Amino acid sequence: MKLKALCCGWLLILSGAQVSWSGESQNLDAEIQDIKQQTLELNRDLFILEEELLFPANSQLAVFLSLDIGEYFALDAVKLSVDGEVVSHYLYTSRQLDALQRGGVHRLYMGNLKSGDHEIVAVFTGRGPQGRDYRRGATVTVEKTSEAKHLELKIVDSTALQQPEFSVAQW
Amino acid sequence: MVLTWLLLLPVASVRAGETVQSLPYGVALFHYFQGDYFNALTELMAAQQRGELDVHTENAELLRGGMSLSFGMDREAERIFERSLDLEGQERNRNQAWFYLARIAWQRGDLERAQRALANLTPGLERPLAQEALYLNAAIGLSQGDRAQAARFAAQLESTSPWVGYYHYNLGADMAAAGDWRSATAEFSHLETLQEPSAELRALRDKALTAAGYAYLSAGEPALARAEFVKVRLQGPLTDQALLGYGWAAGEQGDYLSALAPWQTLNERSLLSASARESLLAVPYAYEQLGRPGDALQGYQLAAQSYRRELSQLEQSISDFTTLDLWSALGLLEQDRDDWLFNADIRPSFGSSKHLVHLIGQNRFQIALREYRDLHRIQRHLTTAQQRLQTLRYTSAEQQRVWHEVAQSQSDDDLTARGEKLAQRINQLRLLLANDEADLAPGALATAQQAELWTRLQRASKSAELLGPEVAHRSRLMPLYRGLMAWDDSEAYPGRIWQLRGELVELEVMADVTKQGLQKIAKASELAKTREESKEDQRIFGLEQRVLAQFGRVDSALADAESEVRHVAVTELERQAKQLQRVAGQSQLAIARLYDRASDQVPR
Repeated sequence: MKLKALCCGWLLILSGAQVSWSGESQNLDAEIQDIKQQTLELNRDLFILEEELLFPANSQLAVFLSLDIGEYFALDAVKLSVDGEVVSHYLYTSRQLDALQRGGVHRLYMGNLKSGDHEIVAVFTGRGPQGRDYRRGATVTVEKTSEAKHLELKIVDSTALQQPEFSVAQW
Repeated sequence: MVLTWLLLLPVASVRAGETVQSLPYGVALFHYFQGDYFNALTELMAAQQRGELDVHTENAELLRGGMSLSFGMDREAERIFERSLDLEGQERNRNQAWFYLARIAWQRGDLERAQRALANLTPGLERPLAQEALYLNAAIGLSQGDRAQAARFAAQLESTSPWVGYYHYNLGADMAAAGDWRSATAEFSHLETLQEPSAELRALRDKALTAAGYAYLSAGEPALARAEFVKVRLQGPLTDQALLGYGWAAGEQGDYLSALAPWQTLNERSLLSASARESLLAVPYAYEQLGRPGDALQGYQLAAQSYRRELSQLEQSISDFTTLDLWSALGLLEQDRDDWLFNADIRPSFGSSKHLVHLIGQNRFQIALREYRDLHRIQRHLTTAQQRLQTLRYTSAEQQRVWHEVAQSQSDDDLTARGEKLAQRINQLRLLLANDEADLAPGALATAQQAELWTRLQRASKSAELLGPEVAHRSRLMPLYRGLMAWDDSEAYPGRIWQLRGELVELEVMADVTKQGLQKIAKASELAKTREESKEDQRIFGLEQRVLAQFGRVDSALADAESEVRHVAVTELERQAKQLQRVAGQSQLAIARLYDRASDQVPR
């Protein structure tokens, strides 16, 4: 047996040096990265056009949700109603909750609304202090004008009360 | 791995308990923290374009660089970092950004870009990253054949750094590849001295010991080789190779009895292990050397059968990798994150990939799998974009239809006429109500019934004047009637005033509604006109064209990426098949040789 050749073969395998890639790899890398960038730009333009066409500013209502540390409240779901009609019922995954706790903001709802006064009700369900089932609501009456209306539902820990606090901010 | 470094970038301004000062920025972060870089980048770029980032504007571009890097777009990230990292207060971010960029470029095998990125580092990089950066520089030197440069960087590594082991291992492999066995073994032996190594470093040490053993064997030093092989752990990824090597080393010393034990152990292992395959041939060879031709013949026959069986499986794998739908076969659909920096390796689990374990673990193969996966995802995003554009086209057409209907309807003419009548009546009422009672003409505020009576009285008075004395007795009654009716008017005056004021208010409301209706029609007409002249349909058309063009590019790149994955996998499988054919041939030759030898002893 050719022992030396055998040993060289094993050394090559151990050093991981026997795979040959085509010389086109670098070009393909660059092409794929360019495709990604172009697709992102396309998606951005589509996103903007969609918003302009489907949710024009004069009728747009967007509702966002943000979360504080979440020590006193572990969010499970949010039910959102506009003028008594449920427009969104959203269940959060643990990954989404983590993203919220790290400063992310969830766009909960986007729709159209006529000018005038409207009642927005958000009902939050989850686990409150001591892990008990917890259900709280927040209500706000907003005046829709010809400008886009953005609301932020905020869940904040109140260390003084050792309770979660729910509020609605208008942007 | 911990996803921390980008948190130190612009996101540092959003700590737990704080909220962002721009909702779109927060939405981008929401996707980003979930590893959904496509949507995170889309949101961020849209917010940048619309100028919605408020105080986050400056950091957003840097965040986009970091996310681009995580999305496997290191070239775009590099462009962003070159533009943005010179800002004040970005020293720490700058070093981290260049470091991770260098690491990805290195994984891609793009040494020049990796080196360029490393050259941008300044003192202050965190210790673990700084050590890895030194190692990357040293490894690039080795890859470029510049051992002096490699040594310069390696000399700066701390003695306790885990990268010291990797450097010596790679240097040893480089020397072994050049046939410098003795120097190679010296480098490999450095890893023996690692203090409290991690699981990864223990595996590396096993690898170095095994490589040192083979290097000693190549250098004609079987005793030293045996000494290295016995140090390899019995329960580790390198055990098979070490057992095989130990057997060869013992064999080189003529000690075939000692060689048999490790080889027989290997015989019982799966033939997916190349060492186990080699051992099938090695065991009967040892029997031959020990003067046991019967056992040797039996062993060679067993080996030949096993090789045929394994070869058939390998041929099936080659066929699979040539023809199978790679996307589903590789299980890439199950990959729910597209993180290029911190995700675990992609490990295909379908049957035919079992022959490619060591190939799949390599950086370049992982990069190829990620590119392939990302292209598929881009294809899906484009399909979704196409559907969204169809919705937009329908919505736009529907809006135009409704506006045109409103604009072209006759209702504006009717409303205009109605509005004029109302205005006329309102003016009349206002004039009427502006007078005092005394100034009003008789019957001015009369109801319809009373007004009729006033008309009849006037008609009767005129007739009486014409007829003269004939109706004098009747004419005398006229003032009486007039007085009675004036009395009635006077009595009804407050009620009539109240009634007419009420009518005026109602008419004014109606006039207002009519006015609003006319304004709405005018606006609809204007909108319809604007829509006709607007660029929205053109924008939809433009996007549709871009989607189609992107589909073409993606299809082409996907075909290339798939072809590359298949090519590399099949090349590796064919290499293994050739190896199997070689050992299968050797076993057949050995069988023939043994039969020949046996037949010599049979009288012809």
